[in-house]
Amino acid sequence: MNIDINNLSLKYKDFEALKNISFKLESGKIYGLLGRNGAGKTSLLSILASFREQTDGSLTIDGESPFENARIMQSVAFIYEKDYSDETEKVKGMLEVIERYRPNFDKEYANYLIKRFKLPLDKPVHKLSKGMQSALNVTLGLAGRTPITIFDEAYLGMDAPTREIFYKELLDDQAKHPRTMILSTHLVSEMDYLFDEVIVINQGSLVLHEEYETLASRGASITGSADKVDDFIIGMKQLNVQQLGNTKSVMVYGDLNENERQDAQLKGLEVGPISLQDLFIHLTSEED
Amino acid sequence: MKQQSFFSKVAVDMFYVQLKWSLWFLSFILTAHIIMIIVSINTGNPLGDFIFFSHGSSKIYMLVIGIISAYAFLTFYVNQGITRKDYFIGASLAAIGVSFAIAIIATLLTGLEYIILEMTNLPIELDRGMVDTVIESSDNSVSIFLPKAIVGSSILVHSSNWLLSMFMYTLNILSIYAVGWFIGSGYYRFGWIAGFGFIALAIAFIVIGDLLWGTDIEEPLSNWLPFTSIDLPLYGSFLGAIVLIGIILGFIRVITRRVTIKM
Repeated sequence: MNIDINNLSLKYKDFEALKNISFKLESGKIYGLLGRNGAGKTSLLSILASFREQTDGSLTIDGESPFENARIMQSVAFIYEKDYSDETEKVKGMLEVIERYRPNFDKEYANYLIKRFKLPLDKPVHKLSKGMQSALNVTLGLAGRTPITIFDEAYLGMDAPTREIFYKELLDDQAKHPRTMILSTHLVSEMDYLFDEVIVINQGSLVLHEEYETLASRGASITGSADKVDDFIIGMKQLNVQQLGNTKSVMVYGDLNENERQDAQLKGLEVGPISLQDLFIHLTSEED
Repeated sequence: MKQQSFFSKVAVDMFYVQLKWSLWFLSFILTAHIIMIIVSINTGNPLGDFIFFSHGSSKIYMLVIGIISAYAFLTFYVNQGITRKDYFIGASLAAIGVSFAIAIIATLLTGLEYIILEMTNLPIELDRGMVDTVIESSDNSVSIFLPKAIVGSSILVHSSNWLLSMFMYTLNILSIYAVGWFIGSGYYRFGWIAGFGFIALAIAFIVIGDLLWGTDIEEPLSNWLPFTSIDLPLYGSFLGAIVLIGIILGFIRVITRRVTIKM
């Protein structure tokens, strides 16, 4: 199921949560949706999940608008941190609900994940710890095997080892049952390897949409003596500059071709990779 | 994947969940009723039978689970990928089912009550005609929720037709469920300030409902009305009640048709 977003806008009274966003998502890939708090990630995802309607523009899934569309809505799962303080249903009961309403649900796989996350089947959900509730959400999301599965900061509350289990299981299952996964996060550094493509939004606008591989090779950090670095980076897009004494380190965004790389080496400059985390921080922190 | 309607699943699931709550509720009311019978035997005060006794509480109960319908189930079902429309149809069918179930159970228990009292020859008088006793004991300001529709309704009071009583009971509690659902949907969509407006409208619906059954209105907010009761033939009351329920459901659908889901 392909997702096609065109000039999508969302306004709450005077506030523009999403501004003219356009991009396409192909099925079978894992997308990282990055943005700072309040950037509009959840607004975008809730339109995708038919929780709300956009003010302007279009969003189609498989060529159709998802809102109140039974076929599409059935294929989209939106996993976010829910308030379970009143949920007296047991873990087992939650699984039964998903089994009843999600046609691709895999019970065996769900039970496997339950064991993997060490979730108690007979405990009411509101009595689970925050981390366990997150693990349950993730279990329901993965085992539902919906063609479009959205994890909106679903890792909140999980400790690091549990998050690792989540990432591993997600990759394993994606390899066996490819679907469109959208992972929204600001924990960029530990999740970047999961993404096939990365979408960055900032203050309601699309900043970039690139393949992760391309993106990773897109930037570089150039380190060396200040005058040589300055000389080298003329005409390049600078993301960040750090200077210590006479040593300067500049992060640049844009392809470095072979000639440039050789040139840098000749000048005694060190060319290093930049992380998605760095890129993310610099792309979204400019206008403070 | 083929196009599928989910409303029947929603209807069955919501019916079972709410039936489970209702059985708890009815067992509490039954316990209270049995205690009242024992008190009544000892004091000699007259007592209404179970269908009469449970009616007022059932209405409050239905109001509450109606309000819950929007909050608990709408978010839940959209989360499962169910459309608002399927939720609406499913929840409506479930509400009708639950109303019938409660009415049928109440009627059966009342029949059982008469049989047991007949057989055991206990010195107790059950009837549905003690209009005055009940009204005096009730506070007018909250009396809209007390069993006035049945107390003042000439039909139920004098009717020995069980089936008729049961249908009246069903329609009465169903309309209150719809009112609760209406309030819940209004709050869900518009927040708490506009929500008060929905309560005002809800009271109007309840007053209209009472009028339809030929009940004297004693609820103080409606003193401005030029009349206190209207006379309708029996089928008119039934028809009117069904139309009223339909109108309230129509409002709920309009409110929830494109509502933003709370996260």
